[in-house]
Amino acid sequence: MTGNDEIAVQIRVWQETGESAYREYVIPVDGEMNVLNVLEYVHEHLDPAVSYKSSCRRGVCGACAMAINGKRRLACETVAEDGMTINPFEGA
Amino acid sequence: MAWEDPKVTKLALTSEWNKLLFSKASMREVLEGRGSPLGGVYFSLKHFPANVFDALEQAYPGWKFQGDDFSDLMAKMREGYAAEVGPAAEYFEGGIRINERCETSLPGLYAAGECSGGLFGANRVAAATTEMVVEGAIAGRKAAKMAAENEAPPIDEEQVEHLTQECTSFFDREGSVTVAELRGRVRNLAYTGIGVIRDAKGLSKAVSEMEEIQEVLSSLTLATKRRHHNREWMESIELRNMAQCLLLSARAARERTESRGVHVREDYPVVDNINWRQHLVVRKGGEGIKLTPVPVVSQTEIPKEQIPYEEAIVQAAEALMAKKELS
Repeated sequence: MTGNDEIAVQIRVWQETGESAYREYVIPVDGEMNVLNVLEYVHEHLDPAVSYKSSCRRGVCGACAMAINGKRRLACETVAEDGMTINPFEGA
Repeated sequence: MAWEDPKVTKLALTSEWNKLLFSKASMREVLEGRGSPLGGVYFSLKHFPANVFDALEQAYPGWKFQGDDFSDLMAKMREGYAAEVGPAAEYFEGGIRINERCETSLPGLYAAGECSGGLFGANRVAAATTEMVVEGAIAGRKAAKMAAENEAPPIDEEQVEHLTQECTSFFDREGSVTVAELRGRVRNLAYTGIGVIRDAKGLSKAVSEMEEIQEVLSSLTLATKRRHHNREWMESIELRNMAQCLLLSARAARERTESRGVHVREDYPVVDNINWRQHLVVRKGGEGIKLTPVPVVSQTEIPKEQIPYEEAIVQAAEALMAKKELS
């Protein structure tokens, strides 16, 4: 459980062992965040091992296509929610 | 609006010059201490009567523009809410030096589109897409012809080895600086030192700090050591290139002791057509950075004189309006 101003998400991460697995991260939410904002926050502040692709950040280029809750979505166009599962390596 | 002449304000509101004029005017407000809390300015549409707002919405159905949905924001703007806005990079006037055949200084390597430099002079007011399509077609044809008529040049194994070593050396470095930290510093320096409004002091500071960052890069430490799916490694290589390009930009901007188009020098507020109707070619070889002014090739005769920056914009605005009235 998290407070109103933070959310917990599961992100698939490649480990140093050469396998990938889901890890949970708790992110403070400032207004409305999209999934790309979440990935950027986690990569920069919590775990640099979290990797993903992005480019235009505004729904034009398609670089951040990935599996979000098992569905193919653009990370920059999907509102981040508590309990989400994000797999940056599928659905591209 | 910080522009004194109403013609400039009109140009800012009704033409492609808006990006240049808005960013300078809003940066001026910030530098003079009248900025909004996040370091920008307030943008409001409150002066629009309701029926004008309706007409605007018809021009942009659902408040959608180029893939972005502005409907939430526009609902608030209609209520009189002001948004905080600030200048950001949109297009680079400079770039890889090419000739009319899109050839670079390296035989067989062509450049086309925004990565090339010089086509629009000091301020792009025509479409970058046109540049991309026209230069892309030229470069493509020339490259195909070159490839068909020539053997592939030999690969310099020594250089390949050197570059591979340079890129993979990030894994062996032991230091305390993280990529995110350094990236933040580079970004901040680009915005404050080589940004919208420049002067010798700020540019010199940018040069020395960028050189320092290049030193610090050698003690960068990667938390992620694997060779695949490694965004941190990619960012490190990008960072090395960013620092290099920004250092060259700062050196060139400091060298150009005038204001012209998007390059505005607080300490040299004149368009200097006596000394600076020139491109500045930047080359970084083994012997260090070399800056060489090269005269502009143009059929337009321009009097050799120095004109105050804002007056030069007024002149350009008048010429543009006269053209519109004629057509």
